[in-house]
Amino acid sequence: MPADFARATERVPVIWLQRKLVVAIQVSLTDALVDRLKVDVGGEIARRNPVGLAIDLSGADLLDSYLTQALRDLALMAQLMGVRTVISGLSPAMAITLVEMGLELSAVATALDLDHALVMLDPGDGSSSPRLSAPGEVVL
Amino acid sequence: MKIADPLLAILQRHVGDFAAAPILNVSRERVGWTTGALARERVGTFLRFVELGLKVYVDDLTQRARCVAELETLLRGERAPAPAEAVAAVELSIASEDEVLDARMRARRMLAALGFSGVDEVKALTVVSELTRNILKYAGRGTLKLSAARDGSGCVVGVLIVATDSGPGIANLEEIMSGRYRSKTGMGRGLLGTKAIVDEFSITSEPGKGTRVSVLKRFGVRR
Repeated sequence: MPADFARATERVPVIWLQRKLVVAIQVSLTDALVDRLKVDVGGEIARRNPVGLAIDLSGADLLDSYLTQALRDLALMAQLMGVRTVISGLSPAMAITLVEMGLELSAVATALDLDHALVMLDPGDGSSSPRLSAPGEVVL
Repeated sequence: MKIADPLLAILQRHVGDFAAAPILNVSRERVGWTTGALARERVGTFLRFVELGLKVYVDDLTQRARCVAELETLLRGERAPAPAEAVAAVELSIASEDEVLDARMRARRMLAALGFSGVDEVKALTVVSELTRNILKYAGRGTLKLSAARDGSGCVVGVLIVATDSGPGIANLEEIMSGRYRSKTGMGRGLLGTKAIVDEFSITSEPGKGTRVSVLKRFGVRR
């Protein structure tokens, strides 16, 4: 069945950008989706050795207890693998809801938007700037 | 198709000519709807795909909800939505993650129709998410009822959300609700969090019989 197939293969894309991993959540998160994301990010960290992980929630509609814990787990997992995480884009309404529910992302760095998150993750040695190729050089 | 498709006409009105056709075509493709009428049980899934498409073009949540409501009216062959109908009580079966997503979408539309916005809307949606997860995770199946909450004079003041299941029940309910107990699965956190963001909360549970959680969420006074 096409619809079920679409659901079963649906995943949040993990983007490789300036030596960082960027996860931009633009859908209503489900438990299955966030669990799959954990596995995907773990794999990408091992494969790419990024300088940081940015998770942007500006397109998410809600965060409840399970989803909050899953995102925190994701950040802690990245940290254990030597990668800093910044979560960005929480709307004021979502932030208030989380605080009142007693759910916290206190162990995780946060930023107002993805732009700030990427700046925070910059190692500052220019290593994450796009590399320009000299004539004749092939950059992979 | 340009003239004959009333679905396209609705979408064009809300997102313009440029975006309407792609949204419709992609949603049809994803739900596997090629010819003829869309099967009734596919309507919810189809509308969810449409909503995903709308999200790209329409920032306003209320407008998105209105567009989806119009499409749903057409697809389900009901007559034009009167305000009273838009806020009619619904009872939803919760037995899969797909139905959880459906419930969230129905709730979003109903909340918009009732006059929810901002923080109150996010809180009510979060409650729907918590309660439907509990049903799925601990009982496997159950129902979620959404209805308008009215004051003595019949004015809508908020929403009533009732989650019922016939699952194993919660043996240590008192301990959980007192905050002394934290389960590995996060059940305590979810229920206590829910209680903290609603106006009225009641839970009854009998081991072996099932659980019923009922909440009232009011919306703030709108300027």
